[in-house]
Amino acid sequence: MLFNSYEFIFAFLPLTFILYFYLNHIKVYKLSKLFLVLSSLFFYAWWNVIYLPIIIASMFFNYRFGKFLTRTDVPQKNILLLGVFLNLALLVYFKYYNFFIENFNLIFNLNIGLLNLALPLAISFFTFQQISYLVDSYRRETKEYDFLNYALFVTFFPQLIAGPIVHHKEMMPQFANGENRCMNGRNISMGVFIFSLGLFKKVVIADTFSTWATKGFDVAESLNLFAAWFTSLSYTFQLYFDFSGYTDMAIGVALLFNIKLPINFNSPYKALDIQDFWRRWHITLSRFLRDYIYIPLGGNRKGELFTYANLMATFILGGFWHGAGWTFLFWGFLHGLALIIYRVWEKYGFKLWSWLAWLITFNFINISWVFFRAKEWDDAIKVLSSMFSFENVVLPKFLEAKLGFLSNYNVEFGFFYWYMETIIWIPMAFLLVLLFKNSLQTLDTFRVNMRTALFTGFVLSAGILSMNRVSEFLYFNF
Amino acid sequence: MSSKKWLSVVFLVIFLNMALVALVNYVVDPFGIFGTNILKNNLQMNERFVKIEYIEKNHQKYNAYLFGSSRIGVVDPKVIEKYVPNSKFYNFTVSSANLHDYLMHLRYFVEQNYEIKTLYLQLDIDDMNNYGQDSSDYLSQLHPHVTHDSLALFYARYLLGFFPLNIRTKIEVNLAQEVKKTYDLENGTWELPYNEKALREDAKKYVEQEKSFHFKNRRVIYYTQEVHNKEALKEIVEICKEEKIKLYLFITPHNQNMMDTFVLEDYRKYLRNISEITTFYDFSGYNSVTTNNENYYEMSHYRPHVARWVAAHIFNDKSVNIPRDFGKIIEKGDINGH
Repeated sequence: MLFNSYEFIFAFLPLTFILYFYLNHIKVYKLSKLFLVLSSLFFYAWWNVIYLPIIIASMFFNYRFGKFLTRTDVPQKNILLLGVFLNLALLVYFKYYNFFIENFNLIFNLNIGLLNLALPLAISFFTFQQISYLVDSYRRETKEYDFLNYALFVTFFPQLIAGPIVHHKEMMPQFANGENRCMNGRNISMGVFIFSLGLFKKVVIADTFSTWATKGFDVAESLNLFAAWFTSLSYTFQLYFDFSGYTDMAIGVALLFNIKLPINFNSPYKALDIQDFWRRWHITLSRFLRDYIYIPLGGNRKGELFTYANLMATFILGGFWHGAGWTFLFWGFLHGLALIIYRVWEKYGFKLWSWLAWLITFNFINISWVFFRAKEWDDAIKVLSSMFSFENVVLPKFLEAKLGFLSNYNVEFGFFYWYMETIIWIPMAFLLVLLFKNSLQTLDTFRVNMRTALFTGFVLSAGILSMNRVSEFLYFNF
Repeated sequence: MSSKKWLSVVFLVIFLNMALVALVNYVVDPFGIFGTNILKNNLQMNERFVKIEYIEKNHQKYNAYLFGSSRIGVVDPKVIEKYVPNSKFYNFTVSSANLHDYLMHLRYFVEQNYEIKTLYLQLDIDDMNNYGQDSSDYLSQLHPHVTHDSLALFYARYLLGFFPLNIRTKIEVNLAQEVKKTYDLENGTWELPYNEKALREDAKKYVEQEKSFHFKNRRVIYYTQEVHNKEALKEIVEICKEEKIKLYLFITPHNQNMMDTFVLEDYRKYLRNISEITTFYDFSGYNSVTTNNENYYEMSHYRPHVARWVAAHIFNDKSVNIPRDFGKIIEKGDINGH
């Protein structure tokens, strides 16, 4: 079920909310938790019920392993390694099997059949979340909770599909806290407020940009210089507003149930360097990669060269987590490389003007998203070639009268077909991401008053009225 | 302010906004979904919905159909009925249609047991990169009966959608004195009386003033929907065989300027793929009809006399004087000589 669907907003969410708190009100707390788990599984199964056994089996398996890991009479490291291996095996089987076989076939000229399995929804998210649980159990950082609490930690529907990726230790105490069983007026207001902002970001802004991004990548072969830039920028903004919009909605829905999810975005396009960007973009994934890959690999403790190698390995794996394709690997490689260059740069104490630092960082991110978005390597190259080719410049026809002399320099005058409106939308998006507070900063200063009520009412109305273009969230694919 | 009051204000604002939008959508009916008819001129309507509604009530009047994009909309069914004995055609033109529409509608008609003896199907070259419709395109959503979706949800989407541009256009069209486009739901055709009159009075002047004839186009349309298109056409041909429907398939005589947008290699591949599936008539390419702008309203739509030439060629009507280089039959599997 999508957050931006009528069935979620008008049926699933209100019903789940009312029944959950009703069950708490009549003091059947176990039943209320069970109800929330079953509702979450229903929410998950809405897409395709065949995925349901996978997530349930994964939950049982990891819970048992977590229990084993807290026992003192078994060799824990081996149990941990086995647990992590089995989780990764599940992920590899569903997500990466075809990729490995295709490349294996290509290298050794073989013809091993592909599986062509549908990727179970959210598998990357719930697998990572449960690997972190196993590692935390091994480190004795988890407390004893029953299976129902654990099931809620994994399936809690606001964060089940696309994160934020949560830690066992930041969620379980909240589920166990008795104070969270009653409706909290302020949390409900804040939840509705942040959900409204997220819905608006998704359906009004991201879905509008998606039209141009999709069109541009579909006709990658024929893009001119401006069309190519509008295409890449459209995707850059689509991805941000889509994913941060989703996260805002997730945070908002969780708040209705008195659960605080961790922050996932902090104005990433304001970043002045690539390290800063990764402290602001998909923060819970960065945290996972740091805690469970970069630091275990040795982090920065083994000298300069090892630090660079660890950074590169972490980012290549991060890229691969997003998708089973060379474009994702290359995207991870680019970011790893950028971070290494940044570290060297910083080591020698070089400084840049802020505006230039921002320009370089933003453009690097924008260009690297092209690899992230392109279905094929060729598409990425075509879009990038057009972005940097001055042999293919087309200006709007109405400028021909004034700038006609440019035709002597190979500039053509034609129609700005499908991307005409981006000329207005892209500057507006820049203003929004650069000059305004992000939604969580707005939440920090939130007051329950008439102004915020009217604002929320209008923003939520605009979101609901624009929901007629139902589209999935981009991060559902990862 | 208490949280309860805060929430009441939020929900009241949402309710009022939605009620206002629903009221405007119902009264203006920008896509012709609700049949309100307060604003009579339906220049833009969701033909897929409106025509299915019409056919569901009137299918017994027809036993043959014309399927195609808006380009086939100028074909008077009588022109084809003349050549097909005992036929009663309905022009099921729908704007921006592609093979997905034809397949879905044919499946639906067969499923409903509507009588179909003949299918006169027009394919456009720009189908090469189109299959299906974007969910945000409200002019082109299929009828929920065709997609087996909920009718109530369909109405809700049209009632609670925010369509400022469509509403403005519909109001403007209805305020304008001049009727630029007329629609006949009884036979499914559309006409452009204003353009037709202007062309008859002074074709040279019309062509000179029509901007679309003078664009410098670039070859940007690739064959990106090969798999979908082939599968859909195969299924259409198979359904026609199974249901004993006589299929006449032809390729639109695209105006030269439109032809300039197709990548030639992909265009040839598109034709080759069609010929592997079935016999068809090809009116596309650069010939004396497509290179004469006077045969078109603009670079996308041909005029009714071109439709008559197409039909005369397909049905081998020697009484009609057709330009000699216009149209060619491509027998199944025999594209090489073309």
